Amino acid sequence: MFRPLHHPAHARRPALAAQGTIAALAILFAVPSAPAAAQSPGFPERPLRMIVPFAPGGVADIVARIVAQKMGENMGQTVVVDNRAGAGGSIAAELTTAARPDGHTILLCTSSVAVFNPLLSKVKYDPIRDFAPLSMVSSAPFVLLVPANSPAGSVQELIALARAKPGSISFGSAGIGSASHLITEIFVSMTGIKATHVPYKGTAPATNDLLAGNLQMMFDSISASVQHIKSGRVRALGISKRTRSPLMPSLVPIADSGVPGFEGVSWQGMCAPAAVPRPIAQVLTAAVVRAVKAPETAETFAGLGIEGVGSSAEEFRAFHKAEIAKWGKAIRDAGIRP
Amino acid sequence: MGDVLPLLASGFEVALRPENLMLAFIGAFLGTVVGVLPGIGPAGALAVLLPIVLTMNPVGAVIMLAALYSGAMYGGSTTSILLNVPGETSSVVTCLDGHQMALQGRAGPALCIAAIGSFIAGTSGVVALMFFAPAIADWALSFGPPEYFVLMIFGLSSVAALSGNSLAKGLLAMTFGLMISTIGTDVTGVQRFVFNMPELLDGIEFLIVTIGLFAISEVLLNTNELRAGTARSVIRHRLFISLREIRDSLGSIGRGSVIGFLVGIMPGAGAGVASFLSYSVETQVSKHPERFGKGEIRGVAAPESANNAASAGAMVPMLTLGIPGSGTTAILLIALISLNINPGPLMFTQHPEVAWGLIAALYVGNVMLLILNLPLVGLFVRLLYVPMTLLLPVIMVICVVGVYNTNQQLLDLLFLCGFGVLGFYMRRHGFPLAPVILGLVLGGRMEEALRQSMIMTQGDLHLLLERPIVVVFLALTAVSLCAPWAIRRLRFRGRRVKLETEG
Repeated sequence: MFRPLHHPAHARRPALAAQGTIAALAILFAVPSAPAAAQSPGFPERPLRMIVPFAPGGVADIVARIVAQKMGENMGQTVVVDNRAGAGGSIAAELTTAARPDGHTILLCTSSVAVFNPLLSKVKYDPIRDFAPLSMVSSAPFVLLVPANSPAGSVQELIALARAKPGSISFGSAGIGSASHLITEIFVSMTGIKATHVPYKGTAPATNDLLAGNLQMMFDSISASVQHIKSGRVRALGISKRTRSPLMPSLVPIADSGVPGFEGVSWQGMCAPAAVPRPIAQVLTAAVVRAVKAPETAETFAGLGIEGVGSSAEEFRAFHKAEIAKWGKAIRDAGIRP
Repeated sequence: MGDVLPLLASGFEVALRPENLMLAFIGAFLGTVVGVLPGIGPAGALAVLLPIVLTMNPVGAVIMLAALYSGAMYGGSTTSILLNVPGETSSVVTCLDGHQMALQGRAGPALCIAAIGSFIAGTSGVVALMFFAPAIADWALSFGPPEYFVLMIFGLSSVAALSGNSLAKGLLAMTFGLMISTIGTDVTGVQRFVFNMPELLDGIEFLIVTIGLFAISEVLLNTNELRAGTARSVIRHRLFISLREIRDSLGSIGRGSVIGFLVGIMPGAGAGVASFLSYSVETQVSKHPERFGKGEIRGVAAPESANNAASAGAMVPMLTLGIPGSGTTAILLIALISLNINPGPLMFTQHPEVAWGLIAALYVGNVMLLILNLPLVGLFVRLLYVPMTLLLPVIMVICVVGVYNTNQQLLDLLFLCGFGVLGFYMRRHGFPLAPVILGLVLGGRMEEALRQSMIMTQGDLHLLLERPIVVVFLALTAVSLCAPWAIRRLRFRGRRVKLETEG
């Protein structure tokens, strides 16, 4: 099922990469005037398919649709969004690995498909080996929330409260092994407190119980929590990023309020099947980056509480590897069976 | 509340602009079509429209989505009544009496009362939404996992109303539904009955079970009758509803609206639960419970009102708290967010034109539905005059396409066939089908809520009895279980006493 670890193609990649870069540069310089045509000859030759591992209507789906639309405008071909939800994203990922690696099939690879799912369940794909990263599209920090009636006014007070009364803190999440669960497990292990995990199916019912005070803390996305913070039903104690977020500049990074080094975001990126030729991958990367940097995209992202990234393929690959190591450790530390 | 009316008036001013009326009409029409087709539910329809809607101006987009939402909720009743094919789980109960009415030549009145009930329930739901939203939103918050657990238990007690002649067979069917609901990944991440098939990780879609059990088995049964030469003779259908029938149903519509709205408010309970509960309540308050399941018009009026009121109710937590109560409102929420409107307590002050435009649009959408659908009753009823040899293959194709379209998985179609054959067997042997759906719809959420309650109380379930709502629902469940039996006992005794005095 799995390919051997040292696949010949894998060893050949650096040489291919160099050739690819030269080829792409040559093409870029050859046709500098028309952006829609600045690409590998014959690519894209027909509409592209962007596989999205979620049902229509979620935040990731909206991200995919905006990027797909902008990419299509950049490349002069329609990018069709193909929603393939189910099995934590495995179905979409397997579909992508099985597709012809000609660049006409790409995958919205989010942290759940490319990190959590492979770490937590048996999947028929290797997130590093089977995909060629194109670009990281966006990332979304989490906000640490406590209900309005909580005595904790800061991260330190919350930690003190949990230490004073062990077992008094329970936290909600979108489910076992979800980003909101694992980020809390990292928080718990870094601060050494004890907290009971109550899993839900999705964040909406968990938010309900946080507002009602049935839960004592929760990490949630900016877009889902901004209304509750403004209305005073919950208090935000900090943000799970090392720097302040332009979306909520008043929030102090948790790393700066007594939990040094604490960080964790959920993210969306764009990938292609691993064997996609380098020149084509670079055309795709350029199209994704331009789509992410477009002003309309930034506006929509801000509304959704996420930050546009638009990294290079190499940066994305390095980040992806670091993510797998980081969350893998969190999963082992929390004792969640793989 | 004195400032509500001018705001609402400005909302109507927006909603009644010709271009917005047009959008409401398109929304209501598309919604009805989508609701009629089995396989595409309201959530799916909204999702399909989402990319188009995102390019429109926010007010128009919201109006169109709202109309579509009401339309899809209503459309599901049509095929339930005419063909015994429920389009989604919330119209399963409508089949019970609705299709019986159609078989008796009363398809017209059944469709009319579904439209009228939906209209009254939808409109009163919006009124309640407008005046009481903030207050009831807080009430909905008091529903934690323990409350959901007992609400679902209460829901299960409606099995008696759905069982027809044999309670034992009804209980068996419900248990089967509960068993299906355990397939897939549970709330603690354990994979159960998955047999290494990734398609099963998220469980079996309600839709596949519903369409398989009801629609496919209906096709099989009819084919069988065609072959045996015992096909039903064509009957003349009455098109219009009588004033008496409307008067008879008003109470049921009222009860259905209230139950539906209250259940709809609770995130995660949904229109399906609302329709089951309202049907069960109807059989218990009725003087003639024996008429239910045999073409009682109240059995159509109550669940159809309930599922429309529930869709208005589900707007309450979404608009006031920003928490979606159902899959459909989740998509509506995302639509609003991507139009840069954050629903929640601040929406009414920050975007009053959208908030009040939405409320006005819900009114307009409901009126639009009534105008659209009452004349269509005549057209829909003609469907019953289509020869079975033509109709059956079409139903089959629509069902297969609808189911395949949901996930594009071949395995789903195998399940569809399996449930179809099972449904055929069950009906031939007098097993009621609705309790299967009841168990399936309630089972997953019930187990989840119980496990969460146990984690929160560290396994001490006695603590649950300290919560007042839990006790109330347990009491209601006891009443609902004992009432039919007690009433029968009382009546029986009454008759015997009479006999003795006569003798």
